[in-house]
Amino acid sequence: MTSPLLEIRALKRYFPVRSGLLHRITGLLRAVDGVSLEVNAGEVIGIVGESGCGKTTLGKTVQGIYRPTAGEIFLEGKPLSRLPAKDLRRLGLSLQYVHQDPLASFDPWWPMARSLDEPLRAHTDLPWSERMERVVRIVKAVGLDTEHLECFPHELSGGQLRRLTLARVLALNPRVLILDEPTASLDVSVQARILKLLSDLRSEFKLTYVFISHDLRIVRIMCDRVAVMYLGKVVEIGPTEAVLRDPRHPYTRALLAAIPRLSPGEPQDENLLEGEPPSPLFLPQGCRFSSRCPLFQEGLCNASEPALSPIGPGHEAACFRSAELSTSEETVARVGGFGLEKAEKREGSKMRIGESDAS
Amino acid sequence: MNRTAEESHLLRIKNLALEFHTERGVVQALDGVNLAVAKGEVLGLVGESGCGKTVTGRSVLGLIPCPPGRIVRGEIWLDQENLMTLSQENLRSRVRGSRITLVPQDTLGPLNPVHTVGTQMGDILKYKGRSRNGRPNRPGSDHQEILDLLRAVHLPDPDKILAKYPAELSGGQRQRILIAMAFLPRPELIIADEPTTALDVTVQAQILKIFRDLVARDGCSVLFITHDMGVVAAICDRVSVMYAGQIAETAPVRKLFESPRHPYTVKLLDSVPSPEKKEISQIPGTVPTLININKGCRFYDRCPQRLDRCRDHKPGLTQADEDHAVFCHLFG
Repeated sequence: MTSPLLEIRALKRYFPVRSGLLHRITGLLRAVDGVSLEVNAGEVIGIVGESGCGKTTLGKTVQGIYRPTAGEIFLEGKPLSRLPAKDLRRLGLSLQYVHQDPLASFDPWWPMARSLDEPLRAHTDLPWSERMERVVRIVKAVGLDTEHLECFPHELSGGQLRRLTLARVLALNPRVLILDEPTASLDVSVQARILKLLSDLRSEFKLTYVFISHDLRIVRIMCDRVAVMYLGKVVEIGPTEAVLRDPRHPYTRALLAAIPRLSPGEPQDENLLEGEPPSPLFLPQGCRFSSRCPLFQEGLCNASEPALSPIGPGHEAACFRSAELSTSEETVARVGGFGLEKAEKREGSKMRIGESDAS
Repeated sequence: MNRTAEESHLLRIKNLALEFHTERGVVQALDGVNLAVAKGEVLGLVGESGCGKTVTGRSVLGLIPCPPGRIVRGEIWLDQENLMTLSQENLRSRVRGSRITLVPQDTLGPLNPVHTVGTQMGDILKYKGRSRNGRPNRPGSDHQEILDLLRAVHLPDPDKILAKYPAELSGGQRQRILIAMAFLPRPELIIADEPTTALDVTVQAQILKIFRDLVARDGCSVLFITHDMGVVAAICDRVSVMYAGQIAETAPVRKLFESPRHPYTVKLLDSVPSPEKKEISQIPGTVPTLININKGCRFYDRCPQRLDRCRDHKPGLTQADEDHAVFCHLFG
């Protein structure tokens, strides 16, 4: 068995919360609280969850923007924290993070050509002409033209800026891209084109994606595997199809139930969650989902925290009662089962959207 | 549409055209927009950013800044009253915030950061609530009404919430408060401008449910502006699809999803990701700039089924069905 391209082992990132006159540490915000992941070369792994669940902190810690509180990150089998600075700098280039706000990630006073040239100037010894050659090549690869290089960030649309954020990191020939909400705040038609571009780039440049998103519909389209995060921990992980067809954690189930369906008139799913996630400063006793869980059982769920346990091939969930969530025909009818089975049963007229899709 | 049906509509926007005069030229933001919202109906207004959804909502409220904005032609009727003939003074005292309220997308901006939630909700009843309903000012009744509404939007401990400042609340909580504030003066029409866009899906689903329940309780009409087809399916009775400042298609929501007619609607529905889909299609080209736009159909450049006459002739209204209106030459 080959070793994974990127491996995260028991990664933790806490932020101290200071308050009062003396600025003492009064609490710990556990943004990422023990996450282990293996990312194989060439795959796309999705990280989903509500805002504040630690998706972005995870991405930034893996990339090295934040220093991990505990845990280890291995890239190509080498532990990043124990590498000498020179090697880390070189190896780190193959792991790139794409920020979720494209406008904020460019200098407003710089034309795009300068912004895109900057990483090359910092990390390579190429002369200006060769750097520009590479920038132009990459800008064309993301579907833009040289004229866009003369623009300033405010002159470009959201979709164009997305493409340029991708171009900037691609110029460094990375192997792994951490994409933080790559389609946030884009219209659906633009979103569709960015997703297409991402798939094209992936095969063209042989990339591996860590795809951070809050939208399970996009994750289904883009990702081979998916990890569902809740309050800093992975609660369910597995092949996308398996997780979405047979979700074994009540939180995954609730996330699926909350997706608006494209079929008006259908009764709304009963599985909706009440309230919002608790603060990561004060985690609930036992299972962190226990305060919102519809399956909460006194004495079991608030006694200890469930660990990830295997369910199917590559499919793990952290729930004491995950066996009860198995997708029998009856539960599919009750919780919707993500609408997959239901959609297949629907008659012709309703499937119109799906049909045109297949053609 | 026959005459009686038209009169039963609470809000009627007729042939509305609006321009913005900018340094680069005249932006034709709206061009011949026709909309009608019946009493107790939720009409969805859906389209991509920049298509004129928000501007349409703002013009109903009389909130288009002039200059640079200018309404070129058109009428906006609320029940028996032509809102275009009202002065800003009259709009403010008789319509805005009382007969028509707004649920904004941004949750932090519209709330005053230096007053508690309770003060701000109390102000609504003080200045907007009573005149229309003619209810006597019973001591304590205001407070009770606010508490009831906060419970209706599923905020736990309403008493505690009232004493808090906006910054102490989460985005979801603030959105619930803004919804409660919109329903507080018992308006006839609510304009909801992307009220769930900034929220997580789990919270969005809760908010949509609350919204439906409150609309059913009060029987008010809603103009629901959104870019999300999933949200449309969840909450709207009828839906109008907008493209580049024009209405492309209006139909009952089920009809629109099952048999969309306008090529743009078809393409838009295809590009929406949904749990049932493994792939999504794209719309080629980009949204046109609305300066010096061509005279004909505004979707011409991107339309897969365009005809010769589409370039120079603006498509008129075609009734594909009794309640299904399409603006496209393919059906004319």
